[in-house]
Amino acid sequence: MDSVPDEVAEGASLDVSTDTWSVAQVNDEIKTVLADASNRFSRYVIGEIADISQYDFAAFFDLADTDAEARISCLAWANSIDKFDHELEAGVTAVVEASVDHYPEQGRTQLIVHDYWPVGESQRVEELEQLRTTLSEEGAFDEQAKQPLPTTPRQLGVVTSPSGSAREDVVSTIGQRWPLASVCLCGASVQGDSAVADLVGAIQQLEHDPTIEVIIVTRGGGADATLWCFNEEPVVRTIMTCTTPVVVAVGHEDDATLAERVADKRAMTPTAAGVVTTPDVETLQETADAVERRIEGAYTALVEERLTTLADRIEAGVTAVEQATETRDVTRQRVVDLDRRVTMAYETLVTNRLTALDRRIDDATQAIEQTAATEQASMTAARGRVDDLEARIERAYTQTAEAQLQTIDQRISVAYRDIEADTKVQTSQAETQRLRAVIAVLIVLLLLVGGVALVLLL
Amino acid sequence: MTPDSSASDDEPTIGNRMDRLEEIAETLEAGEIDLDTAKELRIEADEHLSALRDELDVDGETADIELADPEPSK
Repeated sequence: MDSVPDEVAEGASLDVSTDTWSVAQVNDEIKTVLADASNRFSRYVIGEIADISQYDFAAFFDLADTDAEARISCLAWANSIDKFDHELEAGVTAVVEASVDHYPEQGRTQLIVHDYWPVGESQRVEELEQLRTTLSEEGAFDEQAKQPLPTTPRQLGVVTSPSGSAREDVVSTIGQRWPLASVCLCGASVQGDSAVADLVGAIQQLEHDPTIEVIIVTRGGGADATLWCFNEEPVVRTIMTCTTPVVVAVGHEDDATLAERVADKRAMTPTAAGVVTTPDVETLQETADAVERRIEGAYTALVEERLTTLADRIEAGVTAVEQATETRDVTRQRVVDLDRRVTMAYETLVTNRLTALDRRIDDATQAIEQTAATEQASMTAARGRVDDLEARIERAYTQTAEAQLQTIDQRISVAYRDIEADTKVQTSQAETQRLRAVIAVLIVLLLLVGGVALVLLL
Repeated sequence: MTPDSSASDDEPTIGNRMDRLEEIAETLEAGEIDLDTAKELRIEADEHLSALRDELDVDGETADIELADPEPSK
């Protein structure tokens, strides 16, 4: 193409119909020039394989010259792939046999790959594996080293490109799922030369903010080769040493970067990162509603159950009281009946006893009377005997006295005759008087004996 | 639910409230408490639910912060 004259740039006299090309003309010309200069290109190109997309009919991938950040798209048709001795593998430095082609429809220049073979792992891959081994030995990948994410964070920190779609994706996801959370966005380059320093600075800045409860490090879609900053040791170790839980979502599905491996949680996309770091408010509200219904139901059931129990107890108590009342009435009636029976029995018993006593007294009285009569008869008999004895005593006394008197009289007569015959008449008289006195005493004694006998008989 | 890192000692978090509500529901469902305790739990649950709904109604905000001078890479 000719250089653009100054007057054209300034919009001066320019014939659009003759002095300008369409895009198709440009692309067609590029294709023609490339075809004519095909002998100027080497058949072999060396670079790092990246961003492989395989289909049945072909494979698309990039070949990157990472030191110069140069890359070119590659296409290998299925029939060529079938001839490859090695599987296409991302991250591998390889030599491809290819021709340069240009697609005018898309204005894209690419390599049509006919053959491919790896030339050994790149230096960066070796360094990556060495770092991976070191981190593994340090236990950085262990599940025990992972921190739990907060279930209901109020403040989230997001490290992502300030201009990419990832920012909007993560913020909108958090806003929809968990609108009460605040998001603190810290923009950082996620690819290129400044990515490592930016990522480290942004993560540390959020880590030093005590209000941030979880940090999301994310980026949108992009070439695999641009993910390399997430394997860089400063980024990986910064994430590893964060006391705030970190979620890394850089969308490299096939092979996790080291940043993802050491993160507390890995997500595929910015949207997924928003999902794993936040609860769904609607779900939470539904859960709260469900818990409320459970509590209400359980409380109502418990109260009703207790009330039913109390009602049953009261009912049982009333029944028991009624039964006790009936029992008491029966007992009271029994007491009345027993009282009546006891009274009657007592009266009967007393009456019988009194009647019996009365009868016994009568019998005893009669017996006494009979005894008295018998005793009267006995006294009468005794009195008769006393009389008989008195008479006998009288007779015996009289006989005795008469015999004595006769004896005495005889003696007196003898004595008188003696006295008279003898001078001792005087003495005989005196004796006579004495004897008479004795007789008198005897008579008195007899009377006394008779009285005593009479008294004894009575 | 796991405890929230922002939980303060005197103010229960949403997670704490949900855990407590779950605990209250299980206690009431077990039915091995007296009526006074059940009433107390019911009142406590209502307080948590009310506070929870108030908290869930709040809208957060999004703020961009400037990236400070990055620390040197390790």
